[in-house]
Amino acid sequence: MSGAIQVSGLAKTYPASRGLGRILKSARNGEVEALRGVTLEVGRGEVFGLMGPNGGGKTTLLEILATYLLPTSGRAWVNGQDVLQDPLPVRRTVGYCPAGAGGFYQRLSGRQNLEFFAALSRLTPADTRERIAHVWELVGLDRFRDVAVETYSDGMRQRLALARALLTDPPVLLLDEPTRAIDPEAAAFFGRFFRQSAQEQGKTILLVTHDPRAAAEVCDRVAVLDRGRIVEMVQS
Amino acid sequence: MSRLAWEFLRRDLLDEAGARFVLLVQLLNVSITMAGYVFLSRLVEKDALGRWTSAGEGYFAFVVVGMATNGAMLTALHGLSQRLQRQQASGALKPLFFGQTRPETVVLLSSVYPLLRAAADFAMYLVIGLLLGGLSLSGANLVGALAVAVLALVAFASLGIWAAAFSVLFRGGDPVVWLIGSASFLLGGVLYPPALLPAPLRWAAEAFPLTHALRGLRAALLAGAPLHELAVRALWLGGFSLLVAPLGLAMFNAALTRARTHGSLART
Repeated sequence: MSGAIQVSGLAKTYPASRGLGRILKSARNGEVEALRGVTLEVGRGEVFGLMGPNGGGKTTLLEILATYLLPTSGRAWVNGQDVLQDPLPVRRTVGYCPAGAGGFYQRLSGRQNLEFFAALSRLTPADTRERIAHVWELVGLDRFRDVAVETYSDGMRQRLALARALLTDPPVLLLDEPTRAIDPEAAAFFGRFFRQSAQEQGKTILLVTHDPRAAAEVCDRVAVLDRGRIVEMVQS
Repeated sequence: MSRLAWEFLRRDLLDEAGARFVLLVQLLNVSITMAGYVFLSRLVEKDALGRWTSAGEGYFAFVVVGMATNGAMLTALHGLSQRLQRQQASGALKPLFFGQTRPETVVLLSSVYPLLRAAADFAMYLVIGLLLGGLSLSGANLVGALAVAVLALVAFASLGIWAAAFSVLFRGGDPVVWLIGSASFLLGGVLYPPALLPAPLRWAAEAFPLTHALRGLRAALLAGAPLHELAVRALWLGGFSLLVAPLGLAMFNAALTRARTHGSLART
């Protein structure tokens, strides 16, 4: 198995809601087919872009690889570990930055949030201090480290989400529109950082973006996902 | 593990510290409710209560222990599920349960703060009861009471894991808290001795940890019952936790699997 990420015939159908009304109507039409037999391989040290319209299945694919979601059929491996059979080893090698940058404790400061997630990732206190100092500097939130997250702007939350994804220095990064709310200058900086991380440290990056120019500049290859299928694959 | 436990506790303490007003309102609410029972207790003659309970306490003391234990039970029951619901809405459940710590560990460590809050609620009722007068702990078996209280809180928190599983399943619904909370209040002997209930309801009351917790705590706090007399209650509560907590964790894991299938863990 050579690819850092391997996906084979992956399909995901979200079941229909089983509310009382639907049960009475025996309805199956609430199901949503998000992925329909996606197959792809991402090599080590590669930045692989995912583009396509909303609802195309990009986030679903990332969430299956991050073990947040179970596929309906098909298989996927991250660093040789099966996401279905061995979710814990997969989680050790993956850093996930969700779209929308949610998932923080609003009354806690950015630093307190990162300290909590570092403990959850079993980082030692020394590693926690070192890694937090490093990612703070990288995402440019240094002035706001002791400010409650509820006061952060969307862009600052996005930077914090990126900091959390990088916290354990994982070999695989799953980034869902990581620069969505970030100003163009900083977005370009992060694009260069992703490229550099792949080239110099061998990080494997799966990057969802709606920006064709950023995709062309940052990614080695780009797949277009539409209605759950890869409809185009472009070599940058 | 201790560092991780501390991080969970610190997270919840910091989160709660941002809601000081809620704590103040709760303190006022408990004080006003208990003040109401001071007056109500004047209607209940000591002899009337004595016909149904072995201890010779007055009605106010009876009700303080009842309300304190019921309040602690409710906090332990819904503390975890409320927190998880908030995190579900904010999207924090995904990084919480799909990090490098097992979900069972996350659930158990997330239960620590609700457990401590429940203990604090219990103490708050007793202190207010002492301040308002009518409650005396001069003859209490405090060590026995502490043992029964700890076991009772653990039993309530075990049920809290079931409530949390349901809240993940139903995304906000919390039928376990409603069902157990209401049934325990009716049958457990919070405001009146269960001996007053019709026979079928008396038997049903035996299934609820609140019933046993109240018997043990009233015996220890109000009648100064020795440890060997409290052992039956302690064993029942301990056995209940040993049975219910692992089942709750299994149910929580099943709820997580269902959420991973439905994509319902959060919308980030």
